[in-house]
Amino acid sequence: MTVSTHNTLPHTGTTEILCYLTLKNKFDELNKLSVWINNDISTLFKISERTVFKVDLILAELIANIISYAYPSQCESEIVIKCHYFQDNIRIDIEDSGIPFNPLITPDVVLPQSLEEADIGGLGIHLIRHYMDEGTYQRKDNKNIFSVRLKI
Amino acid sequence: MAKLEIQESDNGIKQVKVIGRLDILGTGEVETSFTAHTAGKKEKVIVDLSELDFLASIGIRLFLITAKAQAKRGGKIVLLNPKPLVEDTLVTAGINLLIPIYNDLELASDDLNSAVSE
Repeated sequence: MTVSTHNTLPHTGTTEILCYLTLKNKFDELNKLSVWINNDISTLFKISERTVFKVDLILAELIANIISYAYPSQCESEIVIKCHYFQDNIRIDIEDSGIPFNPLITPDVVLPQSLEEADIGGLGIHLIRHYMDEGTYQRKDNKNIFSVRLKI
Repeated sequence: MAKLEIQESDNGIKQVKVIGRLDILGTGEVETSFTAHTAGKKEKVIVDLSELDFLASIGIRLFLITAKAQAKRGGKIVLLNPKPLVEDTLVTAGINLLIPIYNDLELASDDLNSAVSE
């Protein structure tokens, strides 16, 4: 479900637009995610194709990671994505109640120099870190809350 | 969502066009067919990315698996005409150092014909 609200921030006078989506931790929910980004977010925020692509890539990698690894017992749960639009940047908060995982402290992948030494995995976190401008992680109320900021 | 178009030419080069999105869902849709067409035997393969709109790490992984398989068999794959945002993702992942990327079909074909013996 997508909900959007417009708020004027008292301390700056700038307008914040908030749009959010709730997904179940199932792979077939990812189609809903890409439609939300490429239709709702793109239209509401009027951001460039390049920024839409970055948001799409960061969320595709993060949410796939959460669905794959955050719930070892495969229990059904919800992932909440909140997208905040400000004048010159976007902040995206991703909340899940899976096992604690901070994407910012995993070792970065070493890019291979030859096909023989190329590892097949580990690129997702590398791409997330490359495409975001800033990231923060906190564990609060048994939830992972990962926030990424992108300049627009 | 993703789909493939396969074209075999007289010069022994197979062209595989990937259309749509190679995220986790799109890759799942084409993975078996892509691997069967590109990694099953020694081949000269051009992967046409001109209609690929989105590429995530799982799609990159698919290209790497095929490239490694072809390298072992004496074949080769190259990538052709990625859109700028897709090419940026390939370069960010360092794939351009492992799998050649061309924006010209003739150059891509020349590379395969000179690198792969009959």
